This record gives sequence, structure tokens and C-alpha cells, in this order.
Amino acid sequence: MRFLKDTTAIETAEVAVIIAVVVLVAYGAYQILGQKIAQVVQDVAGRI
Amino acid sequence: MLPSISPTQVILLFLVMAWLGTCMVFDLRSRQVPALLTIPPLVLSALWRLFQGGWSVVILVVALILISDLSWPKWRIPLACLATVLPLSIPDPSENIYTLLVIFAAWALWEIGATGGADAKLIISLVLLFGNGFLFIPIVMAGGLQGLLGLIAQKKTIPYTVAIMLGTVAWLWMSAVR
Repeated sequence: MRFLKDTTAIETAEVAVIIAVVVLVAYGAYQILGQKIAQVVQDVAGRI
Repeated sequence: MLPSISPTQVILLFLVMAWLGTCMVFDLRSRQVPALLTIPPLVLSALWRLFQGGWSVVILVVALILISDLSWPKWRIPLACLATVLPLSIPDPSENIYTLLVIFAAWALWEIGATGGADAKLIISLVLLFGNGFLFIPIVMAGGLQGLLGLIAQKKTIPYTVAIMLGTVAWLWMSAVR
């Protein structure tokens, strides 16, 4: 059980920053694009 | 604005903070967190999630643990992706996509060597306990800030349990005041 046996708690500083940036960009894209996509879907649904 | 919480929630919060605080102390001292502080909480949180009806996410955790022991390293991540996507095809209103994705992300970061096993287990345990993948966001933000400070201080590695604890506290506070 390799995953269960691993007790290390190490994270490199660069990786932590990169992960934070990626998550921030993904969350921001979700917030911005999510609303626009929902609007487009509603417009199309309204026309149909 | 002060949050309104019940006595039971206070006790739970105290236990969670005591547990995370203990993990943080071990991490700061030796960059290791004993299995006794990661495996039993993982099992307990999985049982709690099962009790709440979240069987698909618990099956995913078990699958990822088994996949990590496969003899073909190149197939581990593709199989983990498959194991994550399959529960999405099963209607399960008690779980959302973010919980599954965060569990996969925590495991995948460990698999590629970006994070330690203890950190991954802590994050997965917390997500199973609270049943909300959005908990990952404040943890990652706190980790990013910690990483930035680490880079400024010219440190190669950072004790990520600090970010896990701070992120969890922040998420719990934001959830309580809403």
C-alpha cells in the first residue's frame, strides 16, 4: 500500500505556487465562462 | 459577523483543529507525519462519507489506493482518470464533480511527486469529512502564499500542513458566516 505507507509531508515552494496559480486561473475561468455559457444556452433555448 | 454554530460543531471543529495542529507540529519538526495521524482519520472520514451516502467517492479513494500499487507506472494516472470519470456517469446526487476531482487531484499530485503522501491523505480526509471539494481552493491559496514566502526566503520546500490547516480554518469560517 504505497500511498498509505508514504508519510512524507514535503512540498516544493515552486510547485505550491504553480498549483495555486493553476487553480486560481481555472476557478476564474469557471466563474467568467460559466455565466457566459449559461447565457448562450438560455438564448438558444429561448429561440427554440 | 460572528458565525452561528452548534455545540456539536464546536467539538468537531476542536477535534479537527487538534488533529491538524498535531500533524503540523510533526511536519515542522521532521517533514513527516506519522501514519497513525493520517490513516485512521482517512478511514474514519471514509466511513463517515459512506454513512452520508457518498459511496462513489469512497470507492474512488479505495481504487486510487489500489492503483498506486500497480506494477505499470505509466498506466497509473490513465487508470486513475478512468476511475474518477466512471462515478460521474452514475447519478449520485449526494456527491458533486468537484469532490471527485479534488480527490483525484490530491492523489495525482502525490503520484507525480509534487506533494507528499501525508499531505495528500490529509486533503483527501478533509474532503471526505466535509464532503465539499471547494475546501481545496483556500488550502491551495494558502499553499501558494506559503510557497511565495518560501521562495522569497529561499527555501526549497515548505511544510504544506500549515497551508492545509490555514486553508481549512478559512473555509470553515467562510462556510459558517454564509
